[in-house]
Amino acid sequence: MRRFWPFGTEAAVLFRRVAALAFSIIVAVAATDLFIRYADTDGMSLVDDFRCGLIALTTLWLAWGAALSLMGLLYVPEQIKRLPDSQPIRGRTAILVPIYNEDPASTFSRVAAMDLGFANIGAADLFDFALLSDTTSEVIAEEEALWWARLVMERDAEGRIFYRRRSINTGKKAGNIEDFMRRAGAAYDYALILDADSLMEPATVVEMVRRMEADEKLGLLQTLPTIIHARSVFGRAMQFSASYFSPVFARGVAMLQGNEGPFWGHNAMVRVRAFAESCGLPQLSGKPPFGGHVMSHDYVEAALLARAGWRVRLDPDLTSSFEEGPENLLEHAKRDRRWCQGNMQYVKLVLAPNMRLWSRLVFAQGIMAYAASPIWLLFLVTSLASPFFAPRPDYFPEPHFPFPIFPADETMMAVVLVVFIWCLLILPKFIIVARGILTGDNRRFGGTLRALGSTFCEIIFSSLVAPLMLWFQSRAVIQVLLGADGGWSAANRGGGRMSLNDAWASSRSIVVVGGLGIAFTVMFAPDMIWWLLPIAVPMLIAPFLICGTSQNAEQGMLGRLFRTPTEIEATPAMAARDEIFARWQETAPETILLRPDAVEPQLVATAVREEAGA
Amino acid sequence: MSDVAATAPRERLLTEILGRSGLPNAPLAMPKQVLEAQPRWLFAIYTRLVRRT
Repeated sequence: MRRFWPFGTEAAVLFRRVAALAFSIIVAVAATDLFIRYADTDGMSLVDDFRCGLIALTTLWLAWGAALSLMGLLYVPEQIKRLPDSQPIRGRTAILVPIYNEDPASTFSRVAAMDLGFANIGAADLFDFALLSDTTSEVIAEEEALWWARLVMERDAEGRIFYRRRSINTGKKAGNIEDFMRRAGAAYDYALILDADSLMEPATVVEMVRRMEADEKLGLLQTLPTIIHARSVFGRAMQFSASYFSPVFARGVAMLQGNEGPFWGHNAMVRVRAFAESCGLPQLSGKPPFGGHVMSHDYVEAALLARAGWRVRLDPDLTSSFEEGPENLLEHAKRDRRWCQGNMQYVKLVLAPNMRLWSRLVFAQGIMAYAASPIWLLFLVTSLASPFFAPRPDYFPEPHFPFPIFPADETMMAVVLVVFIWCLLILPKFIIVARGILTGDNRRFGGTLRALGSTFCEIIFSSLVAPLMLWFQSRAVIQVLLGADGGWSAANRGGGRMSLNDAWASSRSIVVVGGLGIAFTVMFAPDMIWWLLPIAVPMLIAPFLICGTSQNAEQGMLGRLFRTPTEIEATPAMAARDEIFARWQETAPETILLRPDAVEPQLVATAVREEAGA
Repeated sequence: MSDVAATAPRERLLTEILGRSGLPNAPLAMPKQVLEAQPRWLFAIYTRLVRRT
């Protein structure tokens, strides 16, 4: 395979980037050409010209996604520098766990499991944990303190596992990390940035440190987190997708990254000094949603590191890096609203001074990730309206020709276009199944038949929820454009089952829009109804979809689908965390802490005092 | 500590805990980066348009 990339690294990356971009442009041009042939049947109106532009943009975006997955299938592992196992690690690492009104027992049990894992491989002395609380609820903050004390006691981690709470959450999560860097950063060489729901195998973390130690220009090393512990239909479908398809997309990203790889905000290691000197984020001018704190800070930090000459890299071979995901569509939409606002801020940053060209393209991708939905919606609306703007058919274009000439029926062109777009979306998934047969990777997912069945079901699932996502994302973009700030809501990790009533309350606008869309089409553009139904029907049944996909899917027929390697066999850190969390659920922390032999006197005497809430 | 445990209410325990939770005192400078030198007029036009609508 290496023969197909016969250049040095930088030239190879440039070649791949140009190839991926060329592929996307060619596909977009072909799709637009098909569309023009279809729309030109009765003559092109201004609306058709506009639709032409929309279809070019959206297919360019879809083709870019397909290009990433195709690149991922051609992935060639690079030679990665690492400190040999025979040499000791010199650097110290802080593992940062930002928390914000989370369930402390759930979050801290992950820390306990990771610390146990470090102890088991003899590396506990190299790693400190810092639990960085931005919690606003006093009740949860008290719980955090008690669970932290229990964690320290249980892990004998005095001076290794720290807890601090900010009373003012300046800069939100990015500000939380920055606060740590400013106060304690000089004590560490590396910082592993996690989310409250992150879990990583200690062996993976040690491997990351070895790679950081071997490459002094490496500023940030990102892993691909896979979703675990999903229970609902929605959660398990996303978990399967993240576990089965995402690694291929991640390899595609790695093929194009060069020195300007991605940072996804967590499950990544940074070189503390590189981060501190390059990633101090300013307030953006103006008010939110576009001004104020940088919300989607991760892409910006990656770009700033690259701007300062540091390497930012995603290593797709670093496995056993986990996170948890939303369990229902509304939680997903809520998170998406926050991310959308953050990504829309990139319009102010895409022309920031001295950024690498690739970083600017990444910002543009971040914007397009959300802008694509309203563009599709606009295409849909203009398509329904297009018959009103169509020029009158001219059956006698030749002045002296006695017989009428009817326009050719180009419906087939439209069908070809839809199939074409459909292929861009689903073909990479079936190629991944085929590749899994060749590599044996499907065995990790319960065998090829099960992987194929899960892929089919995932396609049906994503086709059904896509119109709802399209609506939520379009609404989010419109809200942001109108200046509405979505704020910073806490993630509802874990529970997600929704009643039909709740689902109806949060989706009735979608039902109304879907119903109006069908009514309008039947009355004014009946020929379009079959094109509209795949979008309008899921909208009509939105409450049932939201409620149904939030139900538990661990048992029965659904339980056999969407199987992932971590469901089939938990990793050591996952098993340890489950055991600790189950045990912790049995006893409140103060019951343990208030036992006469619970806390050693020297614990207080030797600790570094920090002003509470400072 | 054991006598504290025997008598202390939850509040006292919390005060005790928060007193020993500190991070290492090792400050590191983190200069603010320049992010907005792009043509601001483009964004200003957009903002005015949105405000008017």
